[in-house]
Amino acid sequence: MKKIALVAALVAVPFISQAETKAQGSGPSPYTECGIGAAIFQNVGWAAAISNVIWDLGTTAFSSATLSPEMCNAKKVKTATLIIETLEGMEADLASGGGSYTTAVASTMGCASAHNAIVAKARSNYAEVVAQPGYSAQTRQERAAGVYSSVKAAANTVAPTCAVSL
Amino acid sequence: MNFYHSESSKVWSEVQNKDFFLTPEGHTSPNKEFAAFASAVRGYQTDQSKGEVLCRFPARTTLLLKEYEPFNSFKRPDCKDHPRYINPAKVTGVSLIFASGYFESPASYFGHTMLKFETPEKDFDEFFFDSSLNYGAQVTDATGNPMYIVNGLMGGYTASFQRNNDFINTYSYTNKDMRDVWEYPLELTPDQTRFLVEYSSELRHAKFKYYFFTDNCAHRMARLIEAATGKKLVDTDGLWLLPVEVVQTLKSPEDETSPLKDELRTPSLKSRVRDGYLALSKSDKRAVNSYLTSKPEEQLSLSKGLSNEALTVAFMQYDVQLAKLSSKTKKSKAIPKLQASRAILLREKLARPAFKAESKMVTENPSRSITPATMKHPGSVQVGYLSKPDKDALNLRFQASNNDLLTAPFEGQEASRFIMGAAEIETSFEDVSLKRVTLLDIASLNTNPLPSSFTGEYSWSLKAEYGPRNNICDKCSSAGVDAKIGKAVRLNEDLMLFGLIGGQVNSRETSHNDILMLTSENGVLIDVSPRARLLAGINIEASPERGDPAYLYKGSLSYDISPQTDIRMSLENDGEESAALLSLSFYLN
Repeated sequence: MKKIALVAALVAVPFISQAETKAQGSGPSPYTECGIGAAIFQNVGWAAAISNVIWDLGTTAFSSATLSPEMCNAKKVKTATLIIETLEGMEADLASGGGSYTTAVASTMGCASAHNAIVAKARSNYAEVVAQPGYSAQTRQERAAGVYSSVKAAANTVAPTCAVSL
Repeated sequence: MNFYHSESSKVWSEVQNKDFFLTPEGHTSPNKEFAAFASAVRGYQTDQSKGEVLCRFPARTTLLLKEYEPFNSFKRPDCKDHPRYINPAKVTGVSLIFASGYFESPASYFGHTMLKFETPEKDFDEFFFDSSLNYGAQVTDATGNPMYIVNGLMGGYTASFQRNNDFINTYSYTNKDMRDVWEYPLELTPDQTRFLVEYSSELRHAKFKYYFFTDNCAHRMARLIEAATGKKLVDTDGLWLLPVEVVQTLKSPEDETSPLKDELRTPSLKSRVRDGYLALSKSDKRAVNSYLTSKPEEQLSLSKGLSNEALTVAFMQYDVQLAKLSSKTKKSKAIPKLQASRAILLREKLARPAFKAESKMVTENPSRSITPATMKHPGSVQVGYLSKPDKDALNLRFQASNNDLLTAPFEGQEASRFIMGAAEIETSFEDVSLKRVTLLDIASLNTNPLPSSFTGEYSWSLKAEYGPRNNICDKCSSAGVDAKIGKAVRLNEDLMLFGLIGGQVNSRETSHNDILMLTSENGVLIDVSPRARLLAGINIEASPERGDPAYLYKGSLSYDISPQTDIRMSLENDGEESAALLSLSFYLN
């Protein structure tokens, strides 16, 4: 029963996220709540190549976070930004049982010492998310929200002290 | 400190924004700027609430207090409350980062340089925001702007420094652009490290004009390192300064005082897929190929039969494909199908016990001896003796290139031809003539071992030049553009076969060509030894109007006499006559 409840909560994340686009500032997803877009690192083709423009990563997220600090604290914003910017690597790490991306996210959460336990738990959480039929049609932001929720739920379970304010 | 120049009676700064300076005349008067800053430092000694200027210019403050005796005992503020202050004490190391180029964007092919700041404890803000320093133009109008290249070349864009997160930055290069990233830790004293951090912090407020060839990321990173180390690194007054030249100058094997002592490589995702695929057994390779090229309804059952290693390679390959398609301005219709196939593999991976596959590898000791630091310099002068049917001649050639097939690429790059400009002069007893001018000569010999029906990757070449058809004929020069597509296969580490076919548009007819020609270039490239390479092949040309194909048999052998010198011999035969060229190449920065 507990498992079903967890799955329901995780699966609901994307749909909650979609609802949040209509009601900014409410709900649990940092992506809509804190305005962390999926295109901070836009590829501008030749522009990037010829000028090597490096996009002002983080500023957008930080500004949004500053606007509502009680909802979008720095830890939440940075964790969420790291996940969405390295999403494919993060998913690969979760699938393989941990790597440099999950190490980075645990460090950003302030949970470095609990990395292995968090990944083990997050892995099973995320397996339930990915198993849902709608997964492959999700947007990047929805998938990132799924990873974020899986990691957050795992940290809450195995290392609750460091999961505070996520 | 603020890049002042003087020319006769005129003095000006490279910093373009006047609000960077403390005085309205600061842009053109270093004396007034110095006086204003010295006044601010003196003011702080009597009123310590006035530390804003000193915090805005921490490097100036360090220099003034250290180098000017009257200021030696002056106090400086604790700037911790200054917006976006970077505490130099927390930075324990600095690395030069070199991101290799990629063929999908030729302008990037000479790479990109930036700096990375190390902090021992990954403090939240330092880890997240400020762990790397980039310099680039602020371009928002690249797409569809015909003036884009002109602006890039002629200083039409404003450029500035930005600080970013190195971890995410590296991910963007390796997993989105598929570029290898090389890291060169700098051996700096604590004072030098501190000054570098302070100076880069100060310059974040500065805006410059961007010039693609002469005032680019390489130029600015070199200037920062020069300011911190006092070591003259590069000639910033040349026709160009390429990112790889900064690495090569810092890592010069002749220089025992070089601050670069190590090099680390983070391979791109594409490199990891390639290496992972080549390490698979034959049956695993077949299983991966089968999965990639199967219909979605068959993939679920196929995924169950993949070994862990094959599953990992196939999964990563989907990320390569998706990154490639996602970078296009127009959203590809293939993305949903790829996402669905990837999701099957992700579910399968998650359903199995955890199988560790390192997601980001850093190779400390590159397996091949050629790296960005040791590869041949991008400019070369070739002096040769040419023997052809009607006369012998001295042949002089200058070319700017990354590779030309006879030079060895650095680790992670495939053998290729990337010439971004060349000129050739032929001198005989009778005359001196401009034989060839090449604007561009690129051959991307893509040897991706995965099925090209899935990757959509092929080899291709593009050339725009004025010159003769070959070394044999004498009056067969025309200007033209030549484009080809084909396939390259690496049979083993030392042997590559390639074949390209395409067409050519020429400015005029000669006895050897029509305006329109069909062309084909086919060859074998062999690494005979670590110092010697052999390129042999046959070029076929035919006029669609006349038919009558012409064949040119070619063979070239190069041998590295020293790291920056090689000797080359090439032979050409058109079935009737031959030409031979013996040349010495000197590679220059």
